[in-house]
Amino acid sequence: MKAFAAATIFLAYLLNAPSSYAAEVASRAPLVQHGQVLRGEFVQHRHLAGFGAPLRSTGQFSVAPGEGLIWKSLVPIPTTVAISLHGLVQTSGGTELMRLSAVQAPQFAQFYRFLEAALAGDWNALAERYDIVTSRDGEGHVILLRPKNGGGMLPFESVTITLDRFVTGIVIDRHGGDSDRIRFSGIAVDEGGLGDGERTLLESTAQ
Amino acid sequence: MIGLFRALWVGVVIAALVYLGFAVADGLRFDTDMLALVPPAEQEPEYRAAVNALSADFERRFVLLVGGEDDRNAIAAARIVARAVEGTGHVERNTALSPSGARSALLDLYLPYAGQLLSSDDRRRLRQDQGEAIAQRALAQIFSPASFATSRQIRQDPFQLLPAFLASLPPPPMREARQVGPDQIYSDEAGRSWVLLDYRLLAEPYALRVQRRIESALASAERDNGGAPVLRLGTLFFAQSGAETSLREMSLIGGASLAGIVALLVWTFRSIGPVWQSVLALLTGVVCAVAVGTALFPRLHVVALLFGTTLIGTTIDYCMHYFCTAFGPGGASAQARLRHILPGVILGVVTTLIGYAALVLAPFPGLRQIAVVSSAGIAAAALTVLLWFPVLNRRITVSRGRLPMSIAGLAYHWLRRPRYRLVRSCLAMGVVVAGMAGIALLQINDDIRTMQAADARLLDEQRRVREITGLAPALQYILLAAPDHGAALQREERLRSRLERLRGQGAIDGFTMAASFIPSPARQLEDRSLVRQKLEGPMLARQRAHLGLLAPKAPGREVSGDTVLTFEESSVSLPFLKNLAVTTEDGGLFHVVPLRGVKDEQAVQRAIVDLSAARLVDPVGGVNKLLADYRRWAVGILALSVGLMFALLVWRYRLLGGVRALFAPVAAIVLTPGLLALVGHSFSCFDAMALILVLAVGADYAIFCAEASQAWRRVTLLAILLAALTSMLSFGLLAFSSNFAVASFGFTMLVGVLLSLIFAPVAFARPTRPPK
Repeated sequence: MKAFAAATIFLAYLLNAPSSYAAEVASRAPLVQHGQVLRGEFVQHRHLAGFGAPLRSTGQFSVAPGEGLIWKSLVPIPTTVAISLHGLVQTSGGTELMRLSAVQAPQFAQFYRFLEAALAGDWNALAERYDIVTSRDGEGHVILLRPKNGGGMLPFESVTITLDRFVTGIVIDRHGGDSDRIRFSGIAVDEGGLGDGERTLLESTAQ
Repeated sequence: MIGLFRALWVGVVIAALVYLGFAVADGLRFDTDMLALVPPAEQEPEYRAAVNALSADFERRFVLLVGGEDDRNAIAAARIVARAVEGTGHVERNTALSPSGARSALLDLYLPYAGQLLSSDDRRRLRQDQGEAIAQRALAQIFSPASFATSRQIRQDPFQLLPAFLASLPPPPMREARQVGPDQIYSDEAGRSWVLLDYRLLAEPYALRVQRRIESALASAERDNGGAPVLRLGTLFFAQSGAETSLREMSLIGGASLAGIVALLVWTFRSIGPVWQSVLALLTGVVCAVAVGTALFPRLHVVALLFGTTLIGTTIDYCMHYFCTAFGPGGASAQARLRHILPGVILGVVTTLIGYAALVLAPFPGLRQIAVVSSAGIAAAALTVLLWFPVLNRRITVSRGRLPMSIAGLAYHWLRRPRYRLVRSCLAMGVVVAGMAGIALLQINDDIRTMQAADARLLDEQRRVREITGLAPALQYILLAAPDHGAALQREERLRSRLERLRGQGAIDGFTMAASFIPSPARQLEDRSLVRQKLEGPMLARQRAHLGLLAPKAPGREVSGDTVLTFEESSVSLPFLKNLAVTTEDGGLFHVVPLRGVKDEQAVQRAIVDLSAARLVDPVGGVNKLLADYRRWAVGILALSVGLMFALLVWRYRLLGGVRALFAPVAAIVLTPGLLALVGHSFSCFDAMALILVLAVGADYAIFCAEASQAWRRVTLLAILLAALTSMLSFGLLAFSSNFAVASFGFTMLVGVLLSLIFAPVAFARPTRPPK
């Protein structure tokens, strides 16, 4: 009887072993290559402990691997954030609100690397800084990231990414009980690359 | 009568010894502070104390980087190194460097004061009634995915003034390390991990015992680690390397010099007597010199002591002349020998003292001390020769000097035979022409950095540590005196705008100041009032509504009343701030503003000229200026000495005789730098100081030649030859030192003494009237 129970537990473990999914997910090539741009829309709910309701914002994003990320909120505050390895520029209505170099605020460069890898599905890049546990969710996958070595400069407790072909959602649980829940839709790979305005904006992060 | 003087001199020397003994028992210490050599008018004691306190702190700190293939290996290796180094009991861990974790520490520190810490841009916006833009920026940031603001931070700082303030802070002085547990880890370009160990020495960094203990602990840890690399950075390691090299050189050069001198004297006089008697003369000179120096100066400087006592070494000439008189034609009577050398010794001592006394005119404390110490020492050593040698040295017989005398005879023969005149003239002209040609090539060198022969391995390790960590010590800084930290911060704020302008103009690359991290109390109160008036009053309720903040709280702050963030509070959370302030032993407070990449020092000086509490400190530049000043003064004093000597020699030998007597020392001091320039040697303060010695020995040689009658010339030549050989053996061998200062001194002495020897016989020519 004991042997049967042990065999059952072992079989159940094998069937649910995350490593089998991990291998499958890790074997995927990144969804977007250099020269391409991943574009889509987002709805973000920021849950802040002690606040009456989550802060909701919606907008569009563009990720160009190696070049940068543009996060364009439309509601409630029209604002654009461009982040690259060189720094961050935030504008609203054509007015620059904030500019930070990667030297001043290296955490933004780390955040850019994280978000670019997560949206582009570059799991190997994420595996350098996170322990990755994958599991299946219907037709899609759920990927749980836990920061290695304390997480570096990003105050993340854990990150949960859901994906089918593209990433459909990211939940970032932060230290202190705050969390961001971002749903993505309409994601597509733009073979045409960045537009001139986008390129100028990203290049401006290096100034 | 002479017996009375002799006894009196014994009493004086004993008195000097007793005085010195008491001084040592009272804890006689020599000044090692380089700034003490600066003219008093330029010293400003309070700033000097601050500079010394900073230097002392800098010299006690050292950094180790322990490497490994990955974090785990590097941490394991660092544990072993830390255990070994800390096991010496000479060190404590320093946290002041650690930038890692500084970001979260900054947030925790600043958050309660968020409503009174403004970036200069935000301050300007509020003054221009642009609070709306700040409120909009805050909302945009909070809604952005790239926001790192926590709910607590947003509640306390709904206008997000703090992120803007944080963004306005200067970049950290070092690269940010990864914090892995208690360890700070850097990665190099090859992906190797390095653990930073930052220490402060509890013991004297220049104590060789301490240096060896730490180095031995490191070596043993490296063995235990199987060769895991350890990179060193700190004064300690360079000091140890320099000390070990000096010790090796001292034993080698000193040993060779001593052996050569002893062999030369024993061979010449076939007796050990001249050896110990010479040592006795020099020792009485040194004892009297130090006693007089200690009595006249509150604290004798170690540089003056070393150089002053070195000058006493020239009195070996008088010893040689006395010993050689035994081979003279007038018999071996002690009194006869004394009578023969008396005029030469007196004239030699007087000309030398005239030269050194001129040093007293210099405004530099070091030169004045050298003048007193060397004058007292030379007079004392000469008195020992004159008063004691006739009693101590009676036994040298003429027969023992046959061989040395025949060598001197050969030299004299070559000098006086007319058929060698052409050769002699050509050789002399050749030396003069070469020396004069070299003067055209002469390069002046006052840069202390080019004079340091630092260990190449340590230099390489230092470069690697700086590459990996970004740690770069500021070579220049501004000191700001203030009654308290609040006033110091306020003065820094006045200075800041000027330094920012200089940075914009490219005069400096950057600067670090405490006021960049903690606004002065006055500014915090002013900013708080501005925020309340222009931001919180008209917009706080709307902002909170936008954010869905439920319970209203005290606007933006946890602190109340007139509470301000203080330097003391900040330096607990941000220990690196402690490096930006220094308190002297007498309680004087100074803030330190390190400058990076100073391109235009004059522009910095101009920018602070009306800030009475600010001083630009350039330790390297200060030493270079000091070296240049001492070099110039030494050369000036050489010229003055030559003038005074000439007057004395003209009085003694008339005009032509005076010119002949002065020819050798002047030729030596003029041609030596030129000849050395031909082989690429630059002229520094150390060469100039050596020339003072060359002038003294050159004058001695020439005076004894001028004093020598026909019958005594071979004896005089032998004495000069012996004096020159002993000088070259004792000083000239220093040319082989790896230390630039010592080698420069040695080179100049070697060539200068040789030239003095070559040209001294010019003074043999018959004077226009017999000597008085």
